[in-house]
Amino acid sequence: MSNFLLKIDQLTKTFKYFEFGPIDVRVEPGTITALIGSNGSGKSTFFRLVMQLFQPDSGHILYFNGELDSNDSRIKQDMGYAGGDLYQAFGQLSIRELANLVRYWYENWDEQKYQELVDRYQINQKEKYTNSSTGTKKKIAFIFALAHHPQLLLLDEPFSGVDFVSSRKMQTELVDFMENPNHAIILATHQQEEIKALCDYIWLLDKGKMIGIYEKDQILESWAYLSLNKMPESLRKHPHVIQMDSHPNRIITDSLAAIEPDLEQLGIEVTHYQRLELDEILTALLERA
Amino acid sequence: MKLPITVSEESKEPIYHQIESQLKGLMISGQLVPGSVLPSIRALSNELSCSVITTRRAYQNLENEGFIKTIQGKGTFVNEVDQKSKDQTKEQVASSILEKTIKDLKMLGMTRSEAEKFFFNAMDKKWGENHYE
Repeated sequence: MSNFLLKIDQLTKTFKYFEFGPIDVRVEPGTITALIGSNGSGKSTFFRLVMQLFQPDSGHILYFNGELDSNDSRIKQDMGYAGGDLYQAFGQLSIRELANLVRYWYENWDEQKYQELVDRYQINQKEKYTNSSTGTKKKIAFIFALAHHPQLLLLDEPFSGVDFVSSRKMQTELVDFMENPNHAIILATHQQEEIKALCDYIWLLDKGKMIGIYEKDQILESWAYLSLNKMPESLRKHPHVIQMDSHPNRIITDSLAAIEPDLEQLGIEVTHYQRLELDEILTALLERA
Repeated sequence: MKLPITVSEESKEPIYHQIESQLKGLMISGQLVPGSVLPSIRALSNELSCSVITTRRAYQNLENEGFIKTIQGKGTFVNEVDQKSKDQTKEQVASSILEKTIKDLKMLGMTRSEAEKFFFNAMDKKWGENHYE
């Protein structure tokens, strides 16, 4: 059964100083994906291409099992996008006025849901959008993205600049959103805690290229610090030894399953095992690229 | 509902297995009674900071073994477990706890007789000295 909310094949877009793609990815319902990469790696370009704010040079994007033509306006109805300061052009409007405008774009706009969210995040609707703080703008974009009941949420740095309490509430919101098995989220973020708590898959983007697609728990279980009772120099050449430290003897491996039998054969005992933090693994993967 | 489950960063035991055995422990000790609702896969994943792939695997294994039942659109519930499989599971969970402890003691460089001495001392403290008489 081929079931997807998004299927992207060989997507490219060339800018004067930046080449994006070719990118091949797919998003299945029920999943949360973290889109990770350094500044300028192409995360926002990715979202803009998916939102059809940019036209790609080549390749194509299929939405919602390919049932809708990519020009079909219903595609945008079913996507919720927050990012890239979408509303700055309307900065002189109050938040309420802005909501009235956004509401007009979406057939499924749920005014009750919108009010609930605005109350939950204590947004003063009389405030001009442009005068709102960075964090408040993020929350407003987040609320707008959710208030029309999308199937696919695209969130570009939703938590950056947002206070701790609101960020927790947003996480709960996203978990509730995912109770519908047909929903999915793609989330670009630098915040390790949110990636860990929310995401199932990780896409690693570097200089416009997708350098890796990982199942989050699988890399967490595969990479490890291993303390060893002895550490022959030959171990340095092992393809799955990423780093070696002496005093005390400790290695980092990117594949526990691959290295364990070799250690056993060499008569080396693992005296302690510890998982790496996700950001340590991601840093190592990015450095390797 | 928050379940008293923790995923250890220092255990080689796969995360899905940690979740599975701790849930079993809660069920056979009666902390989770038959009919209790379990958190959704997404909610538990969020609590434990693991992926739904992992949590789903744990739930599926528990369902295959008859510990829980998922009713479409309603949620996941704890099943009635008969005494025989309760006893069996108790033994399994107990021996895996002991195996893990023994491994740790070995890592500390303990000999068997040292470990035995420690083990019985600890048992005496927790259960009272007269237990073995």
